[in-house]
Amino acid sequence: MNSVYRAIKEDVKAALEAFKNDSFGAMNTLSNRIMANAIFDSDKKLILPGFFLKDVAFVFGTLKIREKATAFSTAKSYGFKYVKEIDKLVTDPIDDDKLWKGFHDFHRNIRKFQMSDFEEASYSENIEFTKKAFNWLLDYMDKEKNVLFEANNLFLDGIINEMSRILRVHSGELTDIFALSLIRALERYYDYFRRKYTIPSKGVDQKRVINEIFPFIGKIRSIYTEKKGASEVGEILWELVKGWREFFIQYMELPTARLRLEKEVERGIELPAEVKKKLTESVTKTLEKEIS
Amino acid sequence: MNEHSFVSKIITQASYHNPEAFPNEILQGIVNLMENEILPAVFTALSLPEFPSAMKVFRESRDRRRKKRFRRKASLEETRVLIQQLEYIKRRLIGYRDSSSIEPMVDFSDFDNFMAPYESNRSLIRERLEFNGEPMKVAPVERPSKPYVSTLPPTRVKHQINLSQDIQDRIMSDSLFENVFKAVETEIRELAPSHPFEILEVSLHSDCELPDWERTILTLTLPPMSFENKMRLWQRYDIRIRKRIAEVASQMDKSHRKRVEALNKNLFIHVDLT
Repeated sequence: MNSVYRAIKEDVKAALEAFKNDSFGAMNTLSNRIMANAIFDSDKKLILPGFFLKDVAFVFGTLKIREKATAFSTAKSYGFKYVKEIDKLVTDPIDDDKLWKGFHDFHRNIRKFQMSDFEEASYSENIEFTKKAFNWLLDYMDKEKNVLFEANNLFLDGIINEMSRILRVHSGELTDIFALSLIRALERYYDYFRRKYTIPSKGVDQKRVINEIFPFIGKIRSIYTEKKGASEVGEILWELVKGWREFFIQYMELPTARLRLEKEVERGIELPAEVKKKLTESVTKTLEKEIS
Repeated sequence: MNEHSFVSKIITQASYHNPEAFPNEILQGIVNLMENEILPAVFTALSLPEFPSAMKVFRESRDRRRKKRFRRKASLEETRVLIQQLEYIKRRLIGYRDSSSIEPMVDFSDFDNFMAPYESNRSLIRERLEFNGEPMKVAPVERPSKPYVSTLPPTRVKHQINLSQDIQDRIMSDSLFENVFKAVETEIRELAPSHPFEILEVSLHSDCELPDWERTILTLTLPPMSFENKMRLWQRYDIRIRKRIAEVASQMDKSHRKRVEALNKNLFIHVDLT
C-alpha cells in the first residue's frame, strides 16, 4: 500500500470516528481532507471515499439540525453500514463500481428519513418521473447556461436543489446519482472560479466560462443521456475535485452564511401566543425607533 | 409597561407554562425563542426607512463637524450600514419561501483543517453585501456584541441513544421492524425534552431455551431524580411508546398488524430505579 493510500485509509478511519460521535462538521472536514490528499496521487479513484463521506456528513448534519424529532439513530444504522463499507473498500485498487453502488443504496435507504411526515405519507418511488425531470433539468441547464456569466447567479445551486429534492421524494437510479454528484462537484468548482474570474461591473469572464465551465455541462449531459459508467464519471469528477481543491489552496474558505451545525437544536419553551405577539411587537417597535 | 416589568412578565409566563423547566432552562428557552421565532418574524415584517443618499450623508458629516448636538446621535453613515444589514437579513428570510424543499439544510465548509484561520472571524454579513461582484463597505459586526446570540451554556439534559449491532442489522433487514422502531424512536425524541433521560440502550435478547422468543429491550438511564419521578417518567414512556406502536399497527393490513402487535408484546422498557 503506497503512502497516499495509507494516509487516506487513516483519514477514513478518523471520519468513521467522527460519524460515530455525531460530529458531522468534523466528518465533513475529514472528507475534504481525503480529497485534498487524493490529488497528490495519480489514482483518480482515490477521491471517491472523500466525495461520498462528505455527502454522508451533509445528510446526517441536516438530519441533526431538524427541529422536529426524527428517528436519527434508526437512520444512522444505514449511515454506519455505508461508512464501514467505504472503510473496507479503501484498498489498492479501489473498486469504484462497488463504491458507487453502495452510495446509491445508501441514498435509497436514507430518503425516507429525509422526508417530512407529509411527504413520507404521500409519496412512493417514481423513477420514471425522476428520469423525466432530470432530463428536463439537464436540457434547461444547457439552454440557459449563459446565466453563469452573471456574478451573483445561483444557477447550479438551483439545479442541485431541484434534483436533490426529486431524488429524495421520488428516488432514482444510479445514473441520476451520477448526474447530481457531478453537478455538485461542478458547483463547488464554479464557486471559486467565479471568485477568481469576476470582472467588476462586467460579471464573470465570459471567454473563460465558455472554455472552462461549459464543456463540463456538455459532459455531464452526455454521461446522463448515454448512460455512461463509473469510470467515465470518475474521470470528470477527478478534474472537478482537483480543480476545487487547487482553488481552495489559492483562496481558502469562501465567505458564506452557514447554519450553526454543531449546536444541537434545542426544543423551545412554551409561551402563549399573546405573549409572543407582544414580544414581537415590542422588539419591532424598538428596532424601528432605533433606525428611524 | 416599562422594560423591566415586561421582561419579568415574560419570565413569569414562561415559568408558568413550563413547570418542569429549571430557571436556566427558562432563560435558554427564551433566548432560543428569540432566535428561532421572534426575530425572524420581526425582521420579515420590519419596515425600513428610506436609504439615506450619499449626498445626505456627505452633508450630515460636514454639519457634524460644525455642530456639537449632532455628535450625540447615530450618524447617517451608521444608519445606512444598519439598514443594509437588516435588508440583507430580511432578504434571506423572505427568499427562503421560494424553495421547493421543506427542510433546511446545512451549508458545509470546504476546510480540510480543524484550525480556523483568524480571517474566518470576520463578519459574514459584510462579505455578502455585494454589488456587481464588488464588496460594499459595511462596518463589521463585532462578535462579542452580537445581539440575540446566547452565551449561556446549554443546560438541557443531553441524551444519547445507542443501538446495538443486532438492532441495527434488524432495522436494515426487516422493513416492518424498521417502521415500528422508527416510530418508537421519534416518540422517544419528542418526549425527551420534557421527560429527560441520559442514555437509552436498545438491544435484542433471546433465551437459549426459547431461541425464537426475541425481545427488544429499551434500557433508560435517567438523570438524578426522586424514585416517584423516575416511576412517573417510566410510566409516561411506556404509555406513549405503546400508543405510538398501536397507531403504526392501525395503519397496516391485517397480516402486518399481527406482527406489529407481537413486536409490541415483546418490547420491554427497563429503567434503572437505584
